[in-house]
Amino acid sequence: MNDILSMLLTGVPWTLGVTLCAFATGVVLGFALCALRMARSRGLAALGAAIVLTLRSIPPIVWLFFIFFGIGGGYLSLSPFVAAVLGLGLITAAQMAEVYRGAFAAIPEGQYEAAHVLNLSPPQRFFDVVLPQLTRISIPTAATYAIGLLKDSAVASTLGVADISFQAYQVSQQTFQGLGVYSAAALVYLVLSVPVALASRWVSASLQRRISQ
Amino acid sequence: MNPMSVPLRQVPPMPAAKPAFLRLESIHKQFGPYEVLHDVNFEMCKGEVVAIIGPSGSGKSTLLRCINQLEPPTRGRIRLDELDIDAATPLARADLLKLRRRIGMVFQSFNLFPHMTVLRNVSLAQVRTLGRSQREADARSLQLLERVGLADKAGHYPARCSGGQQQRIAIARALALEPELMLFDEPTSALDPELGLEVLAVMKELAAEGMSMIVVTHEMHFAETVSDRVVVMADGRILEQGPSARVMRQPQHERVVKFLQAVRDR
Repeated sequence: MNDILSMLLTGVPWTLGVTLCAFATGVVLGFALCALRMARSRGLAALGAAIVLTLRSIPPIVWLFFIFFGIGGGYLSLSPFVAAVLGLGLITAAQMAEVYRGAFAAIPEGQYEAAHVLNLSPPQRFFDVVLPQLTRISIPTAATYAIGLLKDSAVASTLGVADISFQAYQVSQQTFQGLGVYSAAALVYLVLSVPVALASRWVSASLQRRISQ
Repeated sequence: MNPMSVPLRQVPPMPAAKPAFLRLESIHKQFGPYEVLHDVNFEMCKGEVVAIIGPSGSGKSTLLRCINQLEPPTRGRIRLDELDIDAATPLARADLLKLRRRIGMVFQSFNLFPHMTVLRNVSLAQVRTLGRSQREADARSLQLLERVGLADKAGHYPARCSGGQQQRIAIARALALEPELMLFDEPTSALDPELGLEVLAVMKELAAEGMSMIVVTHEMHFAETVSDRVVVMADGRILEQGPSARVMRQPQHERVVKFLQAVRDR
């Protein structure tokens, strides 16, 4: 059992690597996508909406195969890790764009008006007034999504990224102990999810505590 | 100083005697097919306190928001001293900044920044737009908070303050940029009467110090006793304007008589 577990644990850095890199990609690209969706120009907004719809409608595994075997196969040489991060990162960007859009809508109009009459410049309005409130509103939803992404990162194993699921498959093939191996794998995912959930709750609560001081 | 015992200003300045400080010429504002302001003409001189009253939907707040271009007028001209802004020509950003630099505004819903302490709310724009150092700005903010009776709240977040306190903080925040004209958009409408009184006391004090103020309000007592002049609006037009005592006690326009009667009967 210890051998099984230690094999599975060698997958943890890969699982965390794919999750963190894809999440970071999504958090940043999500802003750009959200800006596109909220653009004044109807054409740009429609383009943004179309990109979000496409990214959200196609199953992750199809995206990953499209990127790795499709684009990576003929045009660009991509490692499994990069392809997985790119694919999951783009899907995350679409989700985050929607999270940001909701958060923008939750900031009262009066906040912008106050910033205008105080003569704050557009970057000051964004960084001093909008971004901190946007972050606060987005954190709980983003954390829920991050936990989901941690699980969905298992799809990277289909490209050959040596993550937890990949190791579990290998070990179960060698030992024929499918039940034990996949139970252990489930446990590892669970243990990895808990800190994210706790951290999110802690951050939300401490932000809440701060503003009610 | 107890904000409740502020002396009323003694001598109301005569509008005609001084040159106009703010002048609105033929202001029109259209939202889609709706004309919210129709040919509004108005002027005031420095140090004057003007109350704008009237039924809901009469265009009072829109007029106020046209003055600092939160709602740019569809047509018409706004002059603030030498600054001349005509809706017919595109507004230069420099002029907009100059205009807003000289006008402070207080909103019905306070609009404090919830993620900043009270002190930072008051200091932020001083640092960002006046280029003061954080220390200078904080020192000035504490003076202003002292003046509205809230220095002890400096380290708190707005959510921990009552509505009346938040509105006084919002006044301090607007004053921090040293405006020459203060616009108040129904500053007490979101407050219960008792909390409204603290805010009105601060406004009275400001008026007594000679601040030029335009106050959109439903507080008839404030309009009559604190303001020098009352403007009555309905349906996007100014129906009547004049010295507050005269307009409030002997209104000429039939609609104004009815409105004031309705307010008193409430």
